[in-house]
Amino acid sequence: MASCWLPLALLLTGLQGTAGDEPRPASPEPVTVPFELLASRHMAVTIVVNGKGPYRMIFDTGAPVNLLSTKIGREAQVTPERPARRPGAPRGGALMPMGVQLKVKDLEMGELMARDVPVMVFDHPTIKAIGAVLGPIEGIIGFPLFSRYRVTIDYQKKEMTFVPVDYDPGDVMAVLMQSVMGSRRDTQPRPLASPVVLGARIEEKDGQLIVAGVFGGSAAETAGLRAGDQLLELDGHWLTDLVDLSRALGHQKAGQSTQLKIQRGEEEKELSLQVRLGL
Amino acid sequence: MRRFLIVLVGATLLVGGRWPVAADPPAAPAARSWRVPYQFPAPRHVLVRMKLNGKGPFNFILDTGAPAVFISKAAGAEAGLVVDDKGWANIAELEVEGGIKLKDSRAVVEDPFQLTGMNRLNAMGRTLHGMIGYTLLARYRITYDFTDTHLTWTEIDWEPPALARMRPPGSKESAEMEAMAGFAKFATGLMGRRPDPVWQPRGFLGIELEERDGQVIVSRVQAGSPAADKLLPGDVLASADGSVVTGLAKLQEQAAKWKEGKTVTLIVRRGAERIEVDLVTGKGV
Repeated sequence: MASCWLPLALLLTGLQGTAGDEPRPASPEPVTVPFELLASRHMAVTIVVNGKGPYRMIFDTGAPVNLLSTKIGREAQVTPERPARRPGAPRGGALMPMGVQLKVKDLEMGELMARDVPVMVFDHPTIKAIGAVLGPIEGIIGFPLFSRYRVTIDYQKKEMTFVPVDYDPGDVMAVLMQSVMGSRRDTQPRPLASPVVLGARIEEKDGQLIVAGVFGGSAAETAGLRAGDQLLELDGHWLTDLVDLSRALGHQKAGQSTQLKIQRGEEEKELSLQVRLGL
Repeated sequence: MRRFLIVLVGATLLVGGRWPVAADPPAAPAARSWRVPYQFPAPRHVLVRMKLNGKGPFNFILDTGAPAVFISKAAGAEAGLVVDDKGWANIAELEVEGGIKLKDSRAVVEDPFQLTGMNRLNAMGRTLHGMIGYTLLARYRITYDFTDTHLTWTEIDWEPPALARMRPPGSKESAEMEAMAGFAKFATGLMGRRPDPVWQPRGFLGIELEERDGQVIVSRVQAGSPAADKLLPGDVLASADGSVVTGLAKLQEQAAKWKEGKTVTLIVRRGAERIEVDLVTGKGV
């Protein structure tokens, strides 16, 4: 949450996200990274940037960017190539992020070694404020780093484990910009479709999905679904509207059995559903 | 404004004595595990849904940068939460999508400016109702893997250290943060709200398909569906709505845009024959 505001601030700087190289998992082995539970109940990790440090950082699953202080930027030479404050841009001290996306060549977090990590260099006032009370904190580690791994957070042991996965976080900055700027005037309807078919007519009524009819020979019929049934959950996904249903179906693999929870009259039932590809 | 600051800091404790130590629900004895569905809307926040006192579902961001569970005032009101003078409320029944059910949880009912800002912009194309922070997250060993469709939450049998009291930050930082919150409100005000997405369900044909040797083949035609009596199992799709069929994934992508009630012309190969069929898509999933 600490950096949720950042995209907002960035908007006025007019900076575009730079197209990044596809990040690759840097380590083939699972590694354990200890963290400190700050009195503020944030998670703090220690990193080394391009061989410099160590620096204490907040680990924040709510942060869409990695943020390094200007101190790290200076010491580890992660400095922007151009000044962040553009001519004519509004002045405002803390409100003026150095919104340039950069890459850290080598970032170590405990035993974890990551390469080409996208970062932004900026002194976040929130981080400064926390640091003023809890001792120096030099930034935030967020989505662009942890999304490369299967990360398990254990507050009791005060450690995280990291296993590389084949996930490409893409250019988070570009996604960010697009999500707040891009499709403002884009009122094109979005298709609601999944590769699999259930084979039933489903009606949306007051936050409920009711089966209006079942087609012969379909997965719905085979599962035992009947007209009048209310769909409750598919594979743990709550079903309150057709968007929910489409999303949940989109996660299903054709041919695999999954649990469909329904309400039939007074009774709650679990059906075994095996969806198939179709239109 | 002070309230904004607290959340902005992401640490209620920075404001001494502002929050009492929360009385959290007792941990259950056995270590149970849940697969928790999540959504992943741009800009890359991990969103998990919760029901509060049976109301909702509400959209929450999983946020280790938040010290507690924060619930927007609107969601709090809908769930009938009674907020005490310190800003905390008791939630008799809290459900996390995927099956976690908790009795008597505590949360801060508040409109953090980040939440207000995100909702003003509607950056995610849906209303956000809060953040799930430390007080709930610390009770589970949570695995994030964005190649998986679910998160794994495993109960930890322990009592996480309670929220501590801390001195307020120095006035210089306070001023900066206050300025930032004001700035964000100002900026989001200028931006205008992104419209909610309009969803258009795909028109339904009632055919099951498989891909074999690069060919898309009808494997079943559902009785009573728009395709019934028009297509047969074994038909090979040669073209659909004017496009040559080159693969199932491509066809799916194309068909996603077919509205209900659209007439779709299919050319199929049936044995030695080439047959042109007009189908009118219907309602169905």
